[in-house]
Amino acid sequence: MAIAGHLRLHLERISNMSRFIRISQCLLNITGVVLSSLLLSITISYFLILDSAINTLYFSIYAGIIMSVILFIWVFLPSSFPTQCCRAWFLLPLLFILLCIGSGL
Amino acid sequence: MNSTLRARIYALHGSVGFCFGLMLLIILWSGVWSMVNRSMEKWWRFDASIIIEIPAIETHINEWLSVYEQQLDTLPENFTTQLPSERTPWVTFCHEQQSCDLTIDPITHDALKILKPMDLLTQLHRHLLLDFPGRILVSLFGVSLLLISLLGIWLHRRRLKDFWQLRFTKNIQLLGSDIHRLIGLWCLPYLLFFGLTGAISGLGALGTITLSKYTHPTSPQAVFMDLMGAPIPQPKTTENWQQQPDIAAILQLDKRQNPDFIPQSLSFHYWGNTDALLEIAGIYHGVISPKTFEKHLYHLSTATLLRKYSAQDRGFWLQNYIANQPLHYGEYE
Repeated sequence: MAIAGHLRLHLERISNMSRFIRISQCLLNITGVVLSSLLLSITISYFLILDSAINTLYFSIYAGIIMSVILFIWVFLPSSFPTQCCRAWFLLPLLFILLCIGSGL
Repeated sequence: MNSTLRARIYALHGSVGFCFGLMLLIILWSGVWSMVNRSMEKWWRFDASIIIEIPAIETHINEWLSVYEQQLDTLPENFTTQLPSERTPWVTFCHEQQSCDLTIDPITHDALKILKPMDLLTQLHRHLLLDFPGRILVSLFGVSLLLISLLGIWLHRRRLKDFWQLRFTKNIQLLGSDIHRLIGLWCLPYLLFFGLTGAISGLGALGTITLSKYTHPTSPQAVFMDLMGAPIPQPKTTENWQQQPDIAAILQLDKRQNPDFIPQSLSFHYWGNTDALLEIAGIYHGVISPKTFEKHLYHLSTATLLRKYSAQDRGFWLQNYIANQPLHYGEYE
């Protein structure tokens, strides 16, 4: 009964319009996080040179997965929606690209 | 931690749990069954004799090959022999397309029936019966499991002293919350371990395909050669051998040269040809790497080692990726 009540409460909340907007914002942020992590992986695999190409490839995969978890938590810390979007979509990818260009990679 | 941050993390933990809880439960349980599948497989084989000790491969390999030859009249050009192990104490012969057509008892040589009642659960765990997209989807659930576990421990980090506390009051929600915390904390190491290795398993495969065009710009397909080793070389002649080479002698030679190596399967290529090859795949003691990445290739007629692939010679990050598979699948032998 407690579980059924909990489910009903969640469904009622989701059906609410403000909840719908929040979910849309949430999906937008998740997409940003995934794309940012992917961009990081691509940037590393393109610019970084380790002892072998295959080693670089797996380093970039690990970096992307770790980045996605950290970024996901960071994005959803309390802040306004524009700040969250900035974190998810622009801030970190921009920093990494600048870092790569700046270090001459 | 201020209350807004805590409320936000609590909401995130709850929402992820609400959205993915049921799927995570299905994936976790099918994963548990997949891990014990090979051990369970031994139970299903009621017709297999009770083997106390695995027979020495070198002394029996020729007999096993004769049994397979009698079954098919003539041996196929390319085939693989899965060798007996403690978990699977029988010999299986497969064609190159992974179609296994004979399983025998290594002592009595009787044919055994192939029963795989747990395979559906294994497939469900591997790719939700959706092939490659399903594999990626399951891996993404691994990421959500990681996330939900990290957020959970963050929420309860100051209440670890109440680890054992179960409040049996009339408030069912309170008791439920205590049980939730207790189970969550107990399972946390397993959840983090399987969440991470599971995520790497599928996303690694996706990453290999996606990023190969950047790391191997001239030929993205070369990434698989880099990962699994070069393809088996073609024979230089079409001549057939006069006499079948002594496979047992090659296995003994390999054992002498690599005492820490445990062979698990033998792949024969171009059987009958003078340039026939034998690829011995297995595992090394103390090296976390499956048989896919530990291979010794021999020229059958001359018994010479052509090449040797091992995870030990690879880069740090690739070694990590290779180690991920046996760790996630629970292959700790």
